[in-house]
Amino acid sequence: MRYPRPRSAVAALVAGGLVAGLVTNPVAPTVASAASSGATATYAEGPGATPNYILPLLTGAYYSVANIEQFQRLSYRSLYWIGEQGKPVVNPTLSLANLPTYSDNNSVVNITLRKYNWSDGTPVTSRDITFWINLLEANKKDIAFYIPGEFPDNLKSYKVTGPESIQLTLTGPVNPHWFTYDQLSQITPIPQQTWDRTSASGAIGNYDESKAGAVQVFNFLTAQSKTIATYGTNPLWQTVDGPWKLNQYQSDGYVQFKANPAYSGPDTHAIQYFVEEPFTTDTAELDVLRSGNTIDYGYLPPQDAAQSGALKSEGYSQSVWWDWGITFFVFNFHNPTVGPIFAQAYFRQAMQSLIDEQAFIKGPLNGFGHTDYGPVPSQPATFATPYEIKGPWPYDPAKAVSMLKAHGWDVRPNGVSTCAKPTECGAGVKAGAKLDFNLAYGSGNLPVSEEMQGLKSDFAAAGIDINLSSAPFDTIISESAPCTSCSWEMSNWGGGWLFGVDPYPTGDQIFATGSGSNFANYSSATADKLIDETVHGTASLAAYQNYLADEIPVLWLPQAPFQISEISTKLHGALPQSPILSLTPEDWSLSG
Amino acid sequence: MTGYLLRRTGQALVVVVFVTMIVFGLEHLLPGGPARAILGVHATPSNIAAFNKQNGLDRPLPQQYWTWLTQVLQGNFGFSYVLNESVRSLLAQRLPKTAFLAGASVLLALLVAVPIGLLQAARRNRPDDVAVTTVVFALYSTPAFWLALLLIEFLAVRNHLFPAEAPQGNFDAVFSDFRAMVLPILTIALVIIAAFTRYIRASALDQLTMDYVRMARSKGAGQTRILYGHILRNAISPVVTLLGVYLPFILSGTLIAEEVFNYPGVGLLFFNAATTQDYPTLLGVILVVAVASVVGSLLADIAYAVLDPRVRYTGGRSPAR
Repeated sequence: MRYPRPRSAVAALVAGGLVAGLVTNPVAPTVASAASSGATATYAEGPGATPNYILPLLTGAYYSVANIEQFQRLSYRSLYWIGEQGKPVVNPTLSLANLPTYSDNNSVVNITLRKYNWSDGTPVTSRDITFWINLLEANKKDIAFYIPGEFPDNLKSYKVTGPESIQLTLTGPVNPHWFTYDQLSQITPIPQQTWDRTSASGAIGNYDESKAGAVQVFNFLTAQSKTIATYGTNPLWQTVDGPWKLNQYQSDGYVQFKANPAYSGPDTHAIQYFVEEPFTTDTAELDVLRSGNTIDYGYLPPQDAAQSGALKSEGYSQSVWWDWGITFFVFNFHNPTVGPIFAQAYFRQAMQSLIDEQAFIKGPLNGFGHTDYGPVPSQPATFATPYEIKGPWPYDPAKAVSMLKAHGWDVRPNGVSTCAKPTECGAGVKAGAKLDFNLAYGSGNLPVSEEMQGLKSDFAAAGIDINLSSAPFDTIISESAPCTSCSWEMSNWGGGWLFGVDPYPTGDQIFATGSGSNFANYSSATADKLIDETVHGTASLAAYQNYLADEIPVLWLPQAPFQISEISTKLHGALPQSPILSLTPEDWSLSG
Repeated sequence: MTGYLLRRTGQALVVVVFVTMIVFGLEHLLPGGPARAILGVHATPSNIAAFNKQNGLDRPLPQQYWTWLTQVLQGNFGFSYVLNESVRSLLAQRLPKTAFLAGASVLLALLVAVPIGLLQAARRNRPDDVAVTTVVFALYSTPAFWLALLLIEFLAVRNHLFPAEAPQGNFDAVFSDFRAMVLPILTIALVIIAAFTRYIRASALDQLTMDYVRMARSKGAGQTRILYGHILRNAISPVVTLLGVYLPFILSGTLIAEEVFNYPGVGLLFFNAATTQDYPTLLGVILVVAVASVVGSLLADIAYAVLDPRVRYTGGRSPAR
């Protein structure tokens, strides 16, 4: 038999040509060609962290860092920009308004805008603020950052005192620090001159000044925001006051911004295009970093910390990006069986004393983490007290055992401790009650899984038996929601709380009695009073955080970074990274 | 033939409806429900109630299914509350990408597998046949994701010959930056080549023993003419059938390639929808894949009949003699 060379050779050439003919050129960037002219910086979006909502008045399902800090704020600036030199403080340079002044026992606030223009040339005015307030007021139940009792519920009235000034009269005194950070920083002027309409072809009016009209306008803008395929072309979204305009958007989260030539704020705009590139997996992102310099600002997955050297040789420098948050997992105080045990402060303090945070940082977190012993983030230590940073209940298993014994428990290391003297164990704890709990944690996160295994071992030293089970984050978060009487016992969804949109860490949303995100169902009159003073009084965060650091309403865990950033050595100006997780590529430049 | 087609289409519709019913029921058995998962830790009970009402999740399950089905019949596949986009629009954006990836992979696989399979049959049990068989078995037993990682390691990371990720941005980028498509296509094609080669080899071996081949040889036909002029059409028939049956397999291959190479197609859309309890998207993709699978199977049957005139569909009776 002869070899069928001629025809197979043709087939092989055709097939091979598909491959071999393409190997002749060096590897080129894979970003869309629209950004071919002008410097382009590419930022890697992690899995699930893709933006998909452009209207700054966003509904609950889209309330995310990816949408707010890394998408909307690039085009729509808030009255007060939080984040300066890596600290979670007001940045006067990037804020749209001068610092507010408070009067009448901190119940009247005066705001004066600085000179900013929309990209269509019209100035940003107090009308753009009232437009935002009116839409929020009429549609607040649909808006993610609305918290009952807070803005605009605490707004009695507003008065426009000039084209660039507005006066807010509040229902009562507020803590100026809290009000500026957690309320005013959320106000995002929006272009009334182009958005105050009820349909795409309708005339511009003052519809927002009636409640019905404000609902119609909001519905129209929301509908426009729900057609993401048009983000890059819809003229609505082309009127911006921020440094960037959307140029291209794909439903997978691929975003290309173009510099806003009419931006009236401070910037250098050395970069003309800013691309946010979505990644399906951490591995895919790491492979791209390892295979060439097509991403300027990426991240090293913590589980791949060993690749650090390889990325350095590819031209990346590493910088840990701390977010403004705390990590903890929760008891269920409302569990009818074990809730009474959790209600004992000594018991919670004993459990905290069994958590070796330093070991977790060295082990599961691969060295990337910092200790956290209280409700106020300790990195950066802008608001944290030395007492909280040090932690009143550091790792001390012997102390934990002695505390339990002192409160009537028959402690059986590596067994199950039982309540031997109910009068000493605490109110509601019955004789023979066991320190035997179910703890559900979020699956798919290796550090969390390893931490939970470590905790089981640590708790066993004091005879606290933990039955671990894992489930997807969605399941954990759904099953451990705040409740009046429910069966779950302990829950760790693999995070804690991020103080992003409300950066003043008062705890009014997570530790106040009955607050919407108080997953533990924790309730303390003292804590409520201290929290209220940070919101409506003039107290600093010191007393509140010291009390909760001591009280252990939840079990504190070490804080992992938002990401280990890998920044091309050709990219300048990206450091320090904002703890609020916002991006300011208008300050970046590329060399080489 | 017409009766057969009508009967098969009817069966296909029943299969598709059953698939959607099963998936619809199963996904709603997942604990927790999507509201808290989507809204996150910040959500208040009223937020959750509003979300459920807005998305019809507070209604009885059969009612939800019926609403979904009637909407689908009107071309409305629902709205993804996770991705903030209509499912139809999502599918419109992602399907071309997956179709291109799958199509290019199958084309490449056929171009390579057909000559190799014929060659192997012609050189049965010789060293080159054994060598190719060894390679083919190795490829066939290699998981696609592992193959993808090897290709990335050697062709992207170490030698910088191809990008480690597929083209980003809109669909046009697939053509403007085709080099970035090479590794994803290769990943899927290599696995399919392995399977197709075996089928073609086996089929060609059968054909080589047929009388018409002997007749051709006795009339002086060369090996090339015998393989490509006489055997090819008959030997390729099983592969045509295989293509239809293989469609789900190919789609699962694209899912892996899409994930590893960061290529946002339908496979990845499905995977993400499943992990985020994005019910409308999940159902939309399953419906499309189910329809594609049954249609693929149907088309394969028809193509088989066209390729092999001996095949006659006679409503379940034996072929006419």
